[in-house]
Amino acid sequence: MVSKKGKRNESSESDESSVEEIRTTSRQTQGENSMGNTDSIQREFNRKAIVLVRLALFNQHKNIPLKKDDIVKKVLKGHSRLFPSILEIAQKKLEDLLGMELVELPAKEKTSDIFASQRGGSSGKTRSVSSGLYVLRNKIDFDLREEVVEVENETAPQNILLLIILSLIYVNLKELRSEDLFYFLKNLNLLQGKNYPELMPSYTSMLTESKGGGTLDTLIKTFITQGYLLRLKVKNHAQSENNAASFIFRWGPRAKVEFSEEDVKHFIAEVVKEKF
Amino acid sequence: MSLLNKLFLQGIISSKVLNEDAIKKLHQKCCQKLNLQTQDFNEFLGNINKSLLEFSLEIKNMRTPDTGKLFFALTNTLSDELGSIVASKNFKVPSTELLRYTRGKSHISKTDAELMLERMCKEYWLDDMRGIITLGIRSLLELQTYIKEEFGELPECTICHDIATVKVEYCQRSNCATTIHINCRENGKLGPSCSKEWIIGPENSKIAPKPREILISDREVSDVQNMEEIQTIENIMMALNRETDNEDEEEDDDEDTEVVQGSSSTNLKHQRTISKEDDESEEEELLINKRRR
Repeated sequence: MVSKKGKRNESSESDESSVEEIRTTSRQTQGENSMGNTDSIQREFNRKAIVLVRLALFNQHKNIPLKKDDIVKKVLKGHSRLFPSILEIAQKKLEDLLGMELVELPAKEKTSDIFASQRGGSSGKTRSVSSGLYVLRNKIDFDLREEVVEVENETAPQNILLLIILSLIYVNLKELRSEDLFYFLKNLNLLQGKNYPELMPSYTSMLTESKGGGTLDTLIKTFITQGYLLRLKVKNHAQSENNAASFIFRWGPRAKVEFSEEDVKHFIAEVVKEKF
Repeated sequence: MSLLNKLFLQGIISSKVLNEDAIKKLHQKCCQKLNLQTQDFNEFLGNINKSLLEFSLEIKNMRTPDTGKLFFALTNTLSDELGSIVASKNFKVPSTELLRYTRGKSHISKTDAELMLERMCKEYWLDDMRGIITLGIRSLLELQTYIKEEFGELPECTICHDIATVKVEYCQRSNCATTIHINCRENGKLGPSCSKEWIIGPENSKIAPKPREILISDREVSDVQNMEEIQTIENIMMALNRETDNEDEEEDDDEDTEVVQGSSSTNLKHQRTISKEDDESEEEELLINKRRR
């Protein structure tokens, strides 16, 4: 962070430099301070890290990635420069308590033009903008977790659908046109426009259903909001008269973080094995 | 924390609420997976709670008033978050009464409200005892601290020292304010010295929780008490609605104009603990609206 570099003292570790920063600020406001301040600062950092851990845990049931903005607002009360240090402490606590970690989602790809980087020029290098979105990810081996951690039965059908879609995208070289996706889903007897209440949790209402709650389109929209899928509009260089927009689907940033290629390959292998 | 503790904790979080059997099985399963000897469960739990202390979290246990079975859940011991839950004198409300509250400001149709109740019961926030809704084991566990903060005096079972809500008996002697859970008494635990005479009925409770000041505006305390349980449910519903805002859009729904009778056919059979005339309920709606502003 540029501002931090400007104020940095001799110490090179980011943790210490922010501590230094705060110490000098407090010294300015309160006059002479003893070295005992480092302890209380560390304790304060610790406290904030605990709040972050709790925030991450309680945020789980929303199933949307945690925003850095929210963290800064709720945990750090606006002091965004404290973020890296507090995050580091929180990670240690999460690992120690639960065997989990907060992972930042990779930046969204803005362009559907996958050859942009090859063309060079000003648009050559994909600018890595951090996404500022975080998800909790398990560090404990799946085999150990298998019968211990309860599977969420209410959302299981949705998860399976997601995995199917991700697999389809994967085997299609990581990019699938929306027409093709819906064609494949039709083969699985999942039709666009039709409502599938069995895919929704049992407590959703009939009203949600009448608004198209259990349709493929709504479910796919949910997956996009949650970060699992990415839908991009394709720029049609050739035909500009053709107003029908075409879309392509890719793995969303969250899918990249939560699913490994190995997982998907295993899933596909299992399904194919069943069939033949 | 050891890998065993981490695994166990993940198991608890994913299961939300566990009965005594289930939690001990979980412990065994974790040990088995890690090829470890199963140690003393209570000691194990104590250790985990020690590490949870700094996070203001605790694995609490309590007997559900319904069956007297022991339940465990990971709870929050800080009352800073989803706060405003209020206890009522009766601690119970018929579900039909609850559904009437959808008439007011909340844009939830009765069928949706019923589904919401169902969901909350499934997730252990509420308990449905044949049409009567009461605070479920999860609410009781989570809110113990909060309720004690808000209301100094609460009916407490003298045997297990937990909050006494439903299925509770009261000592008949005039000077004695003892209350106990029916299940605690039946489990062979000795009651306090004075009582051979226990009676059931919330109207006999000599300890009534003091309603929050904010609710007492134009009305008497006694008129407000049953509203509080309803308010509790509403708050939980609101909180849950906020959580699921991205999934379902129940709050944007058009209001159902028809009065829909819920699927639970037992509604008509049960005695209503609250007798209401129509004017009264309308007044109450106004009261809620007034408070809401």
